Amino acid sequence: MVISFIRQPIFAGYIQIVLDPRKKPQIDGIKLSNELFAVRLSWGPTDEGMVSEFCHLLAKEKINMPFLSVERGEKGYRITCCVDKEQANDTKKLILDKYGNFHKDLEFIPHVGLLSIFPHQSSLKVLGVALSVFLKAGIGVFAVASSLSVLTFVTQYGGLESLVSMFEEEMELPQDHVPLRPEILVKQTDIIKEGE
Amino acid sequence: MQTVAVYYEPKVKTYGFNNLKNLTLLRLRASLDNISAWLEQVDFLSDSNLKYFFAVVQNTDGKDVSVSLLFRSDHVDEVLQILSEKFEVNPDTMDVVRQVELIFFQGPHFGDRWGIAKNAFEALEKKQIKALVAGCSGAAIYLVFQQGEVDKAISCLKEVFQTP
Repeated sequence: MVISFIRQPIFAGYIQIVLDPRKKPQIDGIKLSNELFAVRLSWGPTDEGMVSEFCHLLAKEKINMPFLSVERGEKGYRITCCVDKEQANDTKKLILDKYGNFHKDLEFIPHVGLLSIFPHQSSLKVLGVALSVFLKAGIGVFAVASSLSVLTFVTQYGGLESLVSMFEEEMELPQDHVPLRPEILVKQTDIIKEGE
Repeated sequence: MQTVAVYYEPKVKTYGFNNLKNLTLLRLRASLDNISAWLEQVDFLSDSNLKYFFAVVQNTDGKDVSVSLLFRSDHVDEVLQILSEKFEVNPDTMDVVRQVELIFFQGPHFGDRWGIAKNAFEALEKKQIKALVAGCSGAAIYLVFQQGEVDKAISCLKEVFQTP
């Protein structure tokens, strides 16, 4: 892979990347999410219990996080999470009411989506080429997390279609591949009706 | 055709807790001005066919990018050697946390349900167990801990999650 740096005002800046065609990794598919709303929040190392508190804040209002990443380092904690776009306003209000007055490291990112590729095969090649695709497309990545076989990228919702085309170019996918989209609707309640 | 399935959980179901010990967490950091060099490092490592157990990448405050990769401890020295052959390895760009442990688990529709992460983090918080890195995506939860914490963490999690 040859990467020539031109200019990059943001993560997905103007970077020219030439991927070595010999390195095309093979994957079986791509999955896309519905439109989501992302939150990024950091706090210092002394603020213990904040991760738990943050999760509790959203859960008590029945707000799901289809994506959550947490890192703890010397400087403290850093969270990136996504919620359904329909719950964006509620989420924003909850967080601003709780943290807004003193939190400078708080960012709301509307119009994001998840692009998941599978299987990642625990391969650094798949991770590296995938990140290169985002940079080449000029489409931002806000966070990434791996799970059992899936590598999930939080990115701009409006860029999902063009990213799929680029992944098809830069990775080996089955010929009959079509991106998967959410089909099953899960409704969760804590109310149990009599007889159920 | 619409199919509706309803089920009740007195306690959140999981398919069981998996854990791995004797791992090392490698954190690569780069400023956005230097992202191409960082990506080159990841690409350079990919030639080695080394496998990671867990990966998290975060773009922080529009200035820095960090990637946390979890390797088997006996593979990390190889990673560091490969990197040091071509790149300047220093504490500003890389952090190595040795002897960490991993828990990962999944459950039905975890990615579609509220309260799952809360259950996990609240249970851990009660016992003052803190994850170094965590990722919840799809139906899976990954938690990385300092050495010696994974067994205690599993006990805590079993109080709020049902195992088969």
